[in-house]
Amino acid sequence: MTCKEMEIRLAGLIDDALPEEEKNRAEAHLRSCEACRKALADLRAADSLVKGLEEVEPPPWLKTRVMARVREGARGKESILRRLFYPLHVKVPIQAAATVLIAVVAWNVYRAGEPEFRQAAPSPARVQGAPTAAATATAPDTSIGEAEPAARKKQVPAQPPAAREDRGARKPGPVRGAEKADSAVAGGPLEASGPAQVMNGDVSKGAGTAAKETAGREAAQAAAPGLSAAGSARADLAISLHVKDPASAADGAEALLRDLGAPSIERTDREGVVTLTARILPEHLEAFREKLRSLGAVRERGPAAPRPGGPLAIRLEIRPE
Amino acid sequence: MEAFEILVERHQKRMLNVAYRMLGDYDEACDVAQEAFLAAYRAIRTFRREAKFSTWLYGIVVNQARNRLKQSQNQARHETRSFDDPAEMSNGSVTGQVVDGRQDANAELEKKEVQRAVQECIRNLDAEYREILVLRDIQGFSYEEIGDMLNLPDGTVKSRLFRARAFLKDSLASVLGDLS
Repeated sequence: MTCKEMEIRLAGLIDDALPEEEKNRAEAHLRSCEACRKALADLRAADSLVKGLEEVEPPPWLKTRVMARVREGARGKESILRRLFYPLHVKVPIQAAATVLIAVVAWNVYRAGEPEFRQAAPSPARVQGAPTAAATATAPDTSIGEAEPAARKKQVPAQPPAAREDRGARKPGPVRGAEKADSAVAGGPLEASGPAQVMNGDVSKGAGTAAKETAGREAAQAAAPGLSAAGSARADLAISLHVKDPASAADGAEALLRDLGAPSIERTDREGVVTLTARILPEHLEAFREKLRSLGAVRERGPAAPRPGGPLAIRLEIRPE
Repeated sequence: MEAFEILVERHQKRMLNVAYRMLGDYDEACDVAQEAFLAAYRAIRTFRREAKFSTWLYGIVVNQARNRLKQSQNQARHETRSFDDPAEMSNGSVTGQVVDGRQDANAELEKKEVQRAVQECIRNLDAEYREILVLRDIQGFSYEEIGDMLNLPDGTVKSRLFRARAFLKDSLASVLGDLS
């Protein structure tokens, strides 16, 4: 065995790692080779130096950090539901999807119920001059603001189909603020006729305007009890007024009715004929006639048949000459 | 979780020392040890019961250190480091120049310098020799355990180790002079 062959085997002699046969051959060579004995001594010295290396101590934070990261990783493996709803993280997929879903459902519900909403909502034409008879019939002694929601609830189903169709065919006329306000006036003995007006299909018109009631109008109503509803269908007196300009004459007549204390005026405009329906006290009838004559040619159709002591339901048709 | 904490407590020092002797850098060794524990935690379900847990665990840290060595091979501080450079020791202190033989050298300082030289010689070994030398001659694992850790046959472990010892002896002799 040459020294070159011995070099690697000597390293195995340090910890007795050589097989027995090789170990014997190596020891035999060492006995006769000074250089290899020196090499073995150097190997042992190097091994001693290596084994003498001091150990380093782990920093105090090592275990802490390892366990902190282990726990962090363990949290990441928690249930998917918990992760999805963990409040400190922005879980865009589930929360955004939920928001979109809610919006889509709400939109579909709205679209599905839109026809009903349209039917239930008061149209501008209905608002004009609409009495609040139903509202007052259900809760005559309550304030307007409180009666309005209940009235709306009860009015819609109370309307017969024929009445709905009738109103649906009507052209929506201009809405006048005063009329809308007046239509909201409620309370008083005359409103007991509300159910009859319901049958005529005029019930729901003013319900939506009840909130616009003012204290001043309440005072006006107190001064003229029983005039809250126009009662267009059953007029005590039908008057035709022939003028050049029905629209402006209607404005004048309307102002006149208000001056005479008519709390609620219904106005429709159909094919150039403006119809005003209102209630006034009998004592104001003559003054009303006089004023009308100043506006144009007056014809009364049908005899006035007022109930004794009650207000007159007047239907005024203003036609072009 | 608590069981794993006990394992960390029990093995952290040896894990760190394996990494430190392989890398020669304390901070990097801490980092590698930390990553090795985390890798072990994540892979603990793959641990085969018939294997020895410590063997499996140290195999992970050796592998992590080996990967770190590959990553840092191009780093300037490793490329330019020489024995004349001031070096950071395991306790964080910085030593000065190699003790001049004409001066009265402080024994402790000389010991540190020798240890630094030994560490540097170990670091200059090829990775395949270094890891076996660290595991056997520094950490005292058996040949069988080292074979399991590195997935090497016994004969390969031994031949690599003997060569590693021979290279180290030559390296140390060139740095420190006569060893025996």
